[in-house]
Formats: sequence, structure tokens, C-alpha cells
Amino acid sequence: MLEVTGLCKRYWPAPDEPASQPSAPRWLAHQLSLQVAAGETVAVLGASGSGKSTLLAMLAGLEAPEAGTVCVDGDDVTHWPPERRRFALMFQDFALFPHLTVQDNVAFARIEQGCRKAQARQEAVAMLARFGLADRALSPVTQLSGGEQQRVALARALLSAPRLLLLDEPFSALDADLRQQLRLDFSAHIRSAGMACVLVTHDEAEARAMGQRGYRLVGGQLQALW
Amino acid sequence: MSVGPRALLALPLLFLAGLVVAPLVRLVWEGLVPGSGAWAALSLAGGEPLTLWGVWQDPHLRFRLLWSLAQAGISTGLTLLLGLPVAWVLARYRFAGREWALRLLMLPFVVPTLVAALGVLALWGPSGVWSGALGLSLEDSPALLLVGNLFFNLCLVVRAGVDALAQVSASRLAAARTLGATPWRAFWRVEWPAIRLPVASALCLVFLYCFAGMGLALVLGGQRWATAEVEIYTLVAHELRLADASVLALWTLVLGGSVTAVYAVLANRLAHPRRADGVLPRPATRPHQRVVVVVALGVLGMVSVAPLVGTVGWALADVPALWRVWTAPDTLAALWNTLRFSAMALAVATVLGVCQGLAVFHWNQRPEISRNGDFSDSKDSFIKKRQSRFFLFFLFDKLIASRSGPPARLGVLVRASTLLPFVVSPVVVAFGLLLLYPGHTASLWLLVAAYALLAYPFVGQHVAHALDAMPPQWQQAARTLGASPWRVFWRVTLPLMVPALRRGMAFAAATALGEFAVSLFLSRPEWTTLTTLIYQHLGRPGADNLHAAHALSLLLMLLALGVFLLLDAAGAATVPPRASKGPHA
Repeated sequence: MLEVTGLCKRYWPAPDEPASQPSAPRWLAHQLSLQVAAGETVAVLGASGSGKSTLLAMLAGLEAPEAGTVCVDGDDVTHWPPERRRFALMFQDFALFPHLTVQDNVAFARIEQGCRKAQARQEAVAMLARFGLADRALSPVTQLSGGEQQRVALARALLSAPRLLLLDEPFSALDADLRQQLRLDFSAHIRSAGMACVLVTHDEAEARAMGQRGYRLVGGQLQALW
Repeated sequence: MSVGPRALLALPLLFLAGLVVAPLVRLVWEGLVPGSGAWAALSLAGGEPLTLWGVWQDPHLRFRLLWSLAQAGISTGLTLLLGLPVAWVLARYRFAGREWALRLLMLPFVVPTLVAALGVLALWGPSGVWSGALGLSLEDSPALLLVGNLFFNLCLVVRAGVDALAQVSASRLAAARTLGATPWRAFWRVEWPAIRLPVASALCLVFLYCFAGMGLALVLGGQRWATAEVEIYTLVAHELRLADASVLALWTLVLGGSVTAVYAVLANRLAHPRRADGVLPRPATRPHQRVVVVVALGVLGMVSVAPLVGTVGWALADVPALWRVWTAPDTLAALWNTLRFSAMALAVATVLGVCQGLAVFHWNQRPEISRNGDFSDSKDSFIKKRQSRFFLFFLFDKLIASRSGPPARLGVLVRASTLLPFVVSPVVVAFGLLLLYPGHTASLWLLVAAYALLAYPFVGQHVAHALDAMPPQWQQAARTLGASPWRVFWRVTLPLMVPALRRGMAFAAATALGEFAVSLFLSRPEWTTLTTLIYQHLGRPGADNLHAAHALSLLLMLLALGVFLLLDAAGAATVPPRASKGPHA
């Protein structure tokens, strides 16, 4: 169970930004609170620059909030480094490591958890098989299509057995048909893994298809949509 | 900033302080303040000390300075006249061998200066192939030096032109054509305005290299057409007029610095993201298109390949003699010295370069992240960094535009410090070291340190460039997957950095192998390297010595070619950062 309470973060425009930009700081998160139960997916909608990605970065531990707390299963993880939180973040551009094969990308987290490389690779191949990608295990990730890369990124996140899955516009780089197909595929995988999930997107159809609850991020605060 | 990056940075900064900043301060002091150490040496040599303005009243020294400026200016103009059309053809037409031609443009970046000089002599010297065939000797004429300058710098302008032309908006060009512009008018009204700044900044670099280079001027200019850099060497090594040399060096610093300032202004206007709709080259299918391709390749071949072929031809003209030269004890000793000095310099340069590259990356990264609190907010800056056409462009752009507080500006200054060895010519560096450390002028540590000084910025720049180009998401993803910062470095950053590191090391090795000016100033007689041995043979009369010089030049070229292949193996089909070739020593 994820519990976010009173999270605050401001955006400070740089002095050399164009004059059309407002010069005063702007709230990306202002007393923002959110709860996500295990097995639940919460969608956060918002315009570009509204602070969706920053919200995920704060949850992942990549950014420090100015105020507020992030708790998971009773642990206050607000000041924990990212590697200790065990929250998997899926990036818009997948962020697969280009110097590693598909299986080594998927096995990355297991090796960090102390698993032996051979064992981690076996688990990775098994996970890839669930996504229909076992035959691509030894391929360089750069040779995969966009949809395949997306599934590898999810397989990598799931194999790390995260306590929370964070999805940052996961389908924005894909074409419409593939996006629709992968939404269903992803939802099924996430549900079967039984983990809490926060999805940020600017696509309302995507948010409604995947999220049991939906919010809009405006002025640093969440407005319930459904 | 954490302690780690500070510690990483301390080593290269101390190195720079001891080997560039302090010698320069000493040099300026010698030039400006009468009565310091060098003036005492002057009294040994006799003669009146020069004042700062006295250089311009002395006809001999005034000519040296004016000729340095003139030959650099003429060479710059020639590279523009020849280079721009060649760049246009390479950028706009696709043909068999185009990739090889683009790779060939890197050749002058790794060929030692003396090899190029020998190549020019092989074609246009007293017994040169072309001068013999045409009955036109360029000996004792300024044209020899200009041809040498063209060899090195044509490729730089062509490469800059190709890159810039690839960025011209295809849709704007198409719009111009549909609005009635002929190809020439479209070039003049759409392409030229888009490429003139990058081309102008490349020309600034060409001017700097021609102005501050020594090796070519020493071999090709002779006594009559020697430049200010050669004159500094002559004053120090042959006439012991250290004070006069200091004043002259001061003026070369001032003049070179002025051109660097112009370059900085241009660079500030150049850091723009790469266009997504750049013009793609089209097949050269029509006869006139094929003709221009052949002409462009012909120009490139005559200027940048023929001199190398010429020196190979000279060396192979007498194979038994070549073998005798290669196996002579002094050649083997010189080869050993070249290899060991280069290897030692490369080891030092790698450590320094990696430290600097990592430190400036961390230093530069932190203020942006902490200020805006969002990696994505620094995206624009990241794109600017990644897309900067020239490394210096980014630096000056950040230096001038950065108003996000002292840490960011300091980071840019720290990064800019890497380029000090490029801005200051090797002659000035070596002379400054001679003045500052007179008791260590023939010590191995100073020689290797000076080699490393000229080589390490290649490593630092390539590493920093690779780190700049690395999307932050990769490190972030690794952190969220459970990797600690050290593990992120070990498993993600380092493996992705290795190709750039190899490339930087290859350039550093090429620089060390071909180093000439520093060796002349700081070496002992028993530390003769291949470059100084070539120079010794050139200074002796007779055809045998000239052939020996060519034979040694071929040996040096083969070593350099090995480095070139190493580069190629690293997948470096791209040109090195533009500022990465310092003045040709």
C-alpha cells in the first residue's frame, strides 16, 4: 500500500528562460496526497509540464520533495535512495541499456539483488517467455521493435518484484494499434503480479483503460476524475 | 558537490596549474618585467632587450608576426574556397565510396605534422614529383607552407561543412526551389545563411592552427618564411635571447587569444538542437553530378592524400636503403623512445582525462537538477549539449548564457580548463616550462608530463562528450532497479563510456606519437624520437638524408595508421570534437 501525504515541489524557472514563461515559481506538487492499494492501478492525467513526471521521480526517489512523506507498507521511504525503495519506474523511452542483451537487461535488477548471473538469466528468459520474447533473449535491445522494447522494459520491471510500479507515459512512443494491444497486455500482467501501480499519461483513453481510479494533476494538486 | 568529484578534479587541475598556468604566468612576467631571470640570460647573449612594443619596431620580428598572420589568413581563405564546394558535394550526393571519403577526412587528425611536411616536400620540394613534372619548384617560396596548411585544414572545413549542410532544413530548401530558386540561388539564400556560422567558426580554428603551428612552418617555411612560433624556437634554442622570445610569445598569445575570442562569440550563437528534417544526400546519377563528385574527390585526393602517397613513394623508391634506415641503431633507439614516451604519456593522459571527464560531468549536472528539481526540465540543456556541433560551442554558450548561479558557471569554467592546452600553442607551453623549471628541462618527468598535457584533453573531451550524450534515464532506470551509484557507474556508465574512452585514447596516442615541438625544447640528445630524428636528417645535406627522412616518416605514418585503425575499430566514423585537434606541433 502506497501512501503519499502532503507532497510539495516547486518549479523554478531559470533566469535565462524566454520572457513568455512566468518568472515566479510554479507548484508541481502542492500538498499532494494519494493512496494506492496493492493490485490497484491509479492513473494521473495532466498537461505537459504539469508535473506528472516529477511526481513519479519523487515517488521513485530520483527527486527530493520540499515537504511531505512517501510511505509504502508502513515504511517511510521519503529519504531512502532509489535502489532501496524497490519501486520500478518505466520510462517513456523505455531506458533499456544499449550495451546489454535483452536477457541481461531483464536480469539487471536480480543481479543487483545478489542473485547469481546464471540464475538471474534463467529467470529473465522465463519472464521473457511470458511476454513471447524468449527467442529474442540474446538479441541486442537495439534490434527490437518499439513494441518489443516496451515489453522488455515491463519484463525488466516485473522481474525486480517491485513494491510499486511507476509508469511514465508508457505507450506514448508507440503507434495507435500497438498501443491498444499493449494496454490490455500490460493490464493483465500488472494485475497478475498484484502490485500497486501509478500510471501518468496525457491520454485519457489510456488512463481509463488501465486505471481503476483516475486523477487530473492541476496546479500541483490531484482532482478526482473517476 | 560531493567529495568524490572534487577529488577527481583535483588531479587534472593541479596538473594544469603546474604545467600551463604557472608557465604562462612566468612567461608573461618575463615579457613584461625587465630584470627577471631571462634578462640575465640575455646579457650572456648580448644585445639590447626588447620592450613589449619593440617587437613592432624590429623589422625582422615584425615581419615574423605579420607573416604568421598573413599565412594563417591566406590558408584560411584557401580552405574556404576549396573546402566549401567539396563539403557541398559530399553532403548532397550519395556515391560509391562516400563513406570512405568521409572517413578519410579524419586522416589529417592522426597524421603527425612532420609526416605531412615530408609529404608536401615529396610533391613540391626541390626534387618533388610534381615540381619536377611541372618544372615548378616551390622551394624557398611561401607556397610550400600554404600547401602544408591546406593538407591539415581542408579536411576540418570540409567536415564542418558536411555536418552543417546536413542540418539545413529539407523543407525550407524544397520551398525555395518550388518558389523559383535555382540550385545556386537556393544555396545562396537558404543553405549559406544556415551554414555560415558553423563554417565561420571552423575557419577561426583553421586560422588558429595555422597561426600557432610550428612543425610545418619549421620544415616548409625555412629561414625565409618562418613564422613567429619558429622564431621563438630559434631565439631560445639557437640565440639564447630568452627575453626577446618571451615578448614574442606574449604577442602570439595576445593575437591567438583575440581569434579565440571571435571564435567564442560565434560559438555562443551556435548551440542549437539538431534539425529533424535535415537534407539527405541523393544519388549522383546524372553526368554533371558525377563530374562534380569526381572533381571534389580529386581536390580532396590532391590536397590530403597525395602528400602521404608521395612520402610513401619516396620511401619505397629504394627499399634496401629503407630497410637500412629502419634497422639502424639510431632509428631503433628513436622508435623505442617514441613508443615509451607515448605509452607513458598515454597512461598519464588516460588517468587525467578520465578524472576530468567524470568530474566535470558530475559538476555540471548537479546545479541543473537541484535547481529545477526535475531531470526533464534540464532536457533542453541536455539536447544542447548533445547536439553541439563543436565542443567549444557548448562551452562558450554555457559560459556566457549560464546565469543559474556560481556552481553552474564554475562547472563550465572547470570544463573549459580542459581546453587550455589547445588554446596555448605547444611552443609557448614548452617555452614556459623551460623558463619555470630550468633545473628540470632535461628530466623525463617533465617531458612525459608535457606530452601528457597535450594528449589528455582528447581523453577528457571524449569522455565528457560521451557522458553528456548519455540520457539520464539510463542511470535513473538502473537506480530504480536497485543499483547503488557505484554499481550504476560500473554496470551502466563505464561500459557505455568505453568506446569514447578508446577513441580519446587513440587521438591522445596519435598526438604523443607525432609530438615535435615539446621534444625539441625539452628533450636530451639521447632521447631522440622519430620526429626529432626526421628533423635531424632534414637538417643534413644530401639525398641519402632526405631519403632517410622519408623512410622514417613512413615508419611514423604506419604507427599513426595503427592508431587510425584503432579509431576505426572503435566505430568512430564521426569526427572528433572540433576543438580536439590542437595547433599542429
